[in-house]
This record gives sequence, structure tokens and C-alpha cells, in this order.
Amino acid sequence: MKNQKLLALALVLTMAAGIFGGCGSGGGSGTSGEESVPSSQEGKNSGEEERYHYVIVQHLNGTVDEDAPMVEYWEEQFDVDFTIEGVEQSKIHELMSLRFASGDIPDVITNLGYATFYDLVNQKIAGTWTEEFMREHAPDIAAYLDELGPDAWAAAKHENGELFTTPGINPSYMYGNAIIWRDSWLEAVGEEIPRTLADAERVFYKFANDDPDGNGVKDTYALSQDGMNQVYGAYGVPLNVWIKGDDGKLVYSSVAPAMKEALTTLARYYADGVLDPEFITGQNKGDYAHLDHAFCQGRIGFTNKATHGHWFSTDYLKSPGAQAKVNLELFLQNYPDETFSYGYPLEGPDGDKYSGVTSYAFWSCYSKAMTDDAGKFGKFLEIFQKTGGFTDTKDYLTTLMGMEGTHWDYDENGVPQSREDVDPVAIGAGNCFTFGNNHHVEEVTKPLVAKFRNELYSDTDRYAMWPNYILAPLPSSADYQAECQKLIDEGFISIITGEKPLDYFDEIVEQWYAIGGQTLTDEANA
Amino acid sequence: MVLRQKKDRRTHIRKSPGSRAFDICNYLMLTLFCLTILLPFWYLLVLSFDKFGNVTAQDFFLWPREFTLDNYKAVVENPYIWQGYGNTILRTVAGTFLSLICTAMAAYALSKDSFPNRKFWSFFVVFTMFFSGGLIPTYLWIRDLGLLDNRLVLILPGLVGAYNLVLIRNFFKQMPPELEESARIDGAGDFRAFVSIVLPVSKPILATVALWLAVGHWNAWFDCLVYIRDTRKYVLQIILQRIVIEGTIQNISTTEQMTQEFNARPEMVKAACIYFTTLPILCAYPFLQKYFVKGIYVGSLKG
Repeated sequence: MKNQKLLALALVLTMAAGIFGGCGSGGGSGTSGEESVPSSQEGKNSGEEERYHYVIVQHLNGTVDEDAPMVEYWEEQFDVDFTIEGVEQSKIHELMSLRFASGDIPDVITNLGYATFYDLVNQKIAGTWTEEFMREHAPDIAAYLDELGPDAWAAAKHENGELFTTPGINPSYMYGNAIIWRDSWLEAVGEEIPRTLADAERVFYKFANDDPDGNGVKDTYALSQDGMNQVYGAYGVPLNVWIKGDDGKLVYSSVAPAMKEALTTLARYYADGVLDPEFITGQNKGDYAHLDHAFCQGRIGFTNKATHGHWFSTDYLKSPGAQAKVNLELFLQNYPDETFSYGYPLEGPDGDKYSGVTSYAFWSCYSKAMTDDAGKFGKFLEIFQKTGGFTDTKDYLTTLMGMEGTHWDYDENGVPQSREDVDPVAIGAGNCFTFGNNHHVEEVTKPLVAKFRNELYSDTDRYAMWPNYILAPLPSSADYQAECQKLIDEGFISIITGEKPLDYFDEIVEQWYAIGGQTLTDEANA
Repeated sequence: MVLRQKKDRRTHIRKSPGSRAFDICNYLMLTLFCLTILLPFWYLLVLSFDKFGNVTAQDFFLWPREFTLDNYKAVVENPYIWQGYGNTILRTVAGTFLSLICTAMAAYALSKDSFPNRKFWSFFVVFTMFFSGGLIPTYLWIRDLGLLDNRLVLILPGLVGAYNLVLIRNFFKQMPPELEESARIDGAGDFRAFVSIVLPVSKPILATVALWLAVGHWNAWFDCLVYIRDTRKYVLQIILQRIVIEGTIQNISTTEQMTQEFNARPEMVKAACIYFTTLPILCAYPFLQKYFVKGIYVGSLKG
């Protein structure tokens, strides 16, 4: 009997560890979330002077120790404590939801995107603050937002009229996708870079019919999937964005009346062999997502895929220290002696043109516990302003790369380069102390790229950015968006390829409104 | 006998054209089927030995266009891979060993009819096969135990699996009681009988379960992703996933590119990486596969 009891005890002990792992302790979960001490209060108990402690979660490819040199540097600068935690970007939403659900909320929440930040405010996980507070504690960030314009301020505000995130501009996306023409083809067909759709159409037909690559085989096309964006744009209906209709109300571009004209043109291009029949599968055929295989491997002569950062030109290569990257690299592998040129957004019959939609980048939002603590949050905004290079762009070099002379040096071309044995993340640099975008810092971090960009887009005709009217997903988009989009995607392909007549477009529009588009449109105009 | 052989041969020869055609079709289809499984593996292997360059979904080649070991060199030089290997091996060895001991001990107790409330405890165990507490409660519980960011979290929560426990228990139950009685006559207690008599004769089932556990530990990554924050404690599979999806569209966030260069890894290095990290388990599989099937027979569920 004694043995049996011992046996039973042994069993219970053994199983306790294992079984509950699968089974969990549901009962305790309700309270443990509330018990957890919000990190904002930790600092308050220590000493007379408040020394704040900030928990920051970033997407990092490594681990940052509490005593990493740059963490200690910033701690000393601001007399605060930091804990920097990394999170795996590919599963960031799942992992962060888990943390929020368990009450484990960091002070600085990053990389979840505008819509999630907005939701977090609704759920009272993230907090808001007033414009005055921002102007008082981070006047330089406020000045940056003033520079971006009232749209930026509006984008940063929640429905309660207070700020909840900080918009910034990513210089890579400032001017939309680059418009690229292959020089040797233009030369072969005796044309200049066209500026209007009418002129471009003449060139398109020559690209398809006049054998611009001179191999005697009719194997060239003018454009493919991404090039089509210029056709849509020229008709004033950039694909799948909300635009202002004639009556001033928002309408989804893909069901706007002008779309029918764009589709008419594209269907004609397809029938005449101008549009690459492989447009359906896209111009990228695997590998890095921004590579344009269709263009760089000589199938098409005009493209509108990816931003200028992926299309450094052969001219750029002439500046010392510049390297061929992404598309230029692939293009030169195939055509070592050739070049491509930057074009202009094609102007349509009514003068419309398009290169992209203004997109702000939203890096971070902040726990309600922190924004409710004016002292702590005010201090944070000061830190943000400094590390983000809003006061002096040079500060951002310290944030991104560490200390000059210890972690990085300028090379002979004036470009800052990390020392070989330095891992920026491990020392507490990299993204650790970046909380928002500021396109001006590119001038110090990547001076060659910034110079290239500034020179290219000093010609203001090279871009035509459209406003972004709908920043957060509409309330019903989860219910209807996918189905509505599928209708458009499939319908447009069948119209362009001639499988369905052009009048099928009217049917698509009718159906689109019927299956949820009407609700979305009403919400967009609300 | 001779006659029968003759007859056999005759039937073989006299196969109708129809059935022969059927056989040919059969072999053809099965060969094709095998190829659909083998070709991706082969292509990946070829890619991993191919010289750096761009590759598109349309490219396909059965032999490296230009042979190189550079891809593997790039992988071997990546410190994260070695760190991941270390962590994975540690959890596999320690996890399998501890799991096996605990599961076998629990199974031994549950296999005894004299064990008090045996039915209840058996039900208690089997219950967890059908219901789990869900991710969030488990996370809270792990956090409250202070196991976050602790390597033990990769081993302890799954220490005793119900299915394995039932398998081993059934195996113990089939053992003739006389075996143990002989030991008890010699004065052995429960523990001694378990270690000296029961365990040695249970090697087949223990080997099978150990194998399952080891494979499970080798492939596991989700628990590590959720509970471990220090990247130095990441297991190999997370490192692998990170390398493979780098530069694909889902992974490109608009904010991020301000600070990062456009530096996607070539497909060849990804391929080499996949081979390098899956090779150990890939090699072991064909030799161990028979145990997977056998294990289910030896411990098959009975009451």
C-alpha cells in the first residue's frame, strides 16, 4: 500500500509538469493580465528624481543587451533606462497580439502598420496625445510634419482628434514607381522619350512590331503588368485606389466610368500584341520581389515597376563608390553596354497623369500607460526627436551606426561605412532607436543615393503624386474587400484578354456595388 | 511443384496486351509521381551548387550551370546558423532524454492495476489529447512561471505527451507479470524493478518514442518563436525561415527600407541553407522510417 502511494505521488509530480503544458491554466489567466505591472510605473519608485524606463519592441535581426554601448550612450544622454526587445517580423502580428492579450504591453510598439495602430487605440492598448503636447515637447518633429503639410497631421490623428502615431516619408517611396524606357529600343525605332499616352502609344506599337532588339524575330512587347499602371493613370483612374469623382465624392477608381476607356485601350494593346500576354503573372519571376525580369531580360521596353532605389542608372554608376544593384545589376548582366532612361508619367487625353499615391510611413505607436504619463511621454518625444535626426540629421548617423571612429568611418567618397567587425544591432544601433521616418536623414546616411534622387526628381515633371484619401481600412473592408477585389482582378483580365466583351465592365461595376462595394463607398464618404 | 512453376511461368507469358499496357501505364504514372517528389529536392540541390546569379521561376536546369561551393561557404560562415545548430541539438538531446524518462515513469505507474484511481488518472491524461488550453492561457502560464526567454521552455511544457504515454503504458501492460515478480522475489522495489527489468525489455518502444520526440524537437520552431526573445537562443528552424523569406514581398515593409539596403540573399544561398539545415534529419529519415510504422504496432492502443 505504501508503495502504491509513493507511486501515485511520483506519477502526479511527473505529470504535473507535462500535462498542464497542453492543458494550460485557464482559471488564472484573467487575473494575471491585470496583475502585470505596466512598465511605465516601474521608474516611479526609484529615488527622488524620476528615472524613466522604456521598453521598446523593434524588428531586429539580433539581440540587444542592456549594456550594449549605444544603449548605454543614449541612457546617459537622457538619464533614462531602455530595454530593447526584438520581434520576428514575419510573425509580428501574432506575437504582438499574444503579448497584448496577456497584458505584456511594451511602451513603444513598432512595425504593425497604420491600421493596427489605429485599432490598438480603440482597444485602449495604445494612447493618444494632443498636437500642443507634440509642439511643446518635440518642436522639431512638429516642424517636420508642418513641412509635410496638413495631410500629414490629419493622417496622424485618431477620430478623437488627438495624435496616435507619427507619419514620416520614406525617401524610397516619395515619388512613386520609376518610369523606365530602354534606350537602345527607343533609338532603334527612332523615337524620343514620350510624355503623353498618345505619343507613347506610337512608340509601344513600334516596340512590338519593328523588332527593336534587331534579332529578326517578333518576340518583343512594349509593356506588361506594371507598365499598365501608366495607362490607367493617364485616364485618371490609377488602379485600385480611392479617387475624387466629378461630384467631389470618393469613388473606387476601378469602377469609375473612365476605367472603361482604359480597359478599351489595354484590350486593344493585348489584341495587337503590344501588351505582353504574360502580364497576368507579373514582371517578377521569382527571387527578390522588386526585380523586373520582363524588362531586364529583354521582353519589354517600358516599365513602371519599383521605385528609383531599384533602378539606379548607369549615370549613377559613374559617381565614385556607387554599385550596380537590383535591376541595374540584372540589366547589365544581360546587356553590358546598354542603358535605360527615366521617363515621365504619361499624360492622358484629359491631362491626367500619375506616378503614385502619397504614402506616409508609420513606424510606431505608444502604450496608453506611457501616453497617460505626461512626464514619461514628454521625455520620450524629446528622445524621439533627437535620435530620429529631426533636430540635426547628423544625429541619425549615431542612431543608425553608432559612434564615429569606433563603430564607423567615412570612406574616401564621404559615405559612412560600418567597421567590418561591428554588428549595428548588437551594439544597440541599427533600428533600435528609430521611431519614425524622416526622409532628410538619407542625405547623411546614403549621400550618393540622396544626391541621385534629388537630381532625378529636381525635374518636377518626373512625378505626379496623388493624395491618399483612405489611410485606415474601411470598417467593412474585412467583410467585402477580398471578394470585391477578386471580381475586379478576374474581370479585368478577361476583358483585356478579349475573353469577355468590353460591356462586361458595366456588369462588373453593377456586381461590385451589389456585393459590398456600395457599403465600402458609403463608408469612404462618411 | 514443377508443374506449378510451369503454370506460373505460362500465366506470366500469357499476360494479355491489355494487362501489359496497364502495367506500363502503372509504372509510368508511379515513376512520374516519384519524379514530382524528387525533382524539387534535386533542383534545390542543383541550385545550391550553382554559381551566384539571378534565377527566375522560369529557369530550370538539371545540372549546375557553373559549379561552386561558395553558397555553402556563405552558409558555413554565417554565425547564426551555428548558434541555431547548437540550440537545436541541445534541445533535441536534452528534450528527448528528459521526455523519455518522465513519460516512461508515468507510463509504468499507469500500467499497474494496483495503482489507486488508475481510471481517473488515465482519463486525465487522455483528456489532454482532445482539449488544449489555447495559446494565450498557455502563454500567461509560462510567463507566470518565469520561463519566458529560458531554454527550459522548449522542453518542459511538452515533457510528457499523452499519446506517447499511452503507447508506452500499453507496451508495459503486455509484459508478463512474472518478469517483474522474479525481481521482487529477489527484493527489488518499484524503482529497481522498473530500471533493471522493465526498461531493458522495453527497448523497441522506447526507441520508437525517442525517435518521434527527437524529430519533433528538431522540427519545432513555434514555441521558440513565441517564448524566446533572445535571438542567441533561437533554434535552427527560425534562422532558416528568416533567411529563406528575406526579400520576398511579405517581408518588405515600407518603413524598414529607410535604414536597410536592398540586400536580398540569392536563391542559391537560400537553397544551400535549406540543405545544410535539413541534411541531418534528411539522412536519418530513410533508416529510421521503419520504426515509425513499427512503433505504432508494438504499442497499439488497447483499452
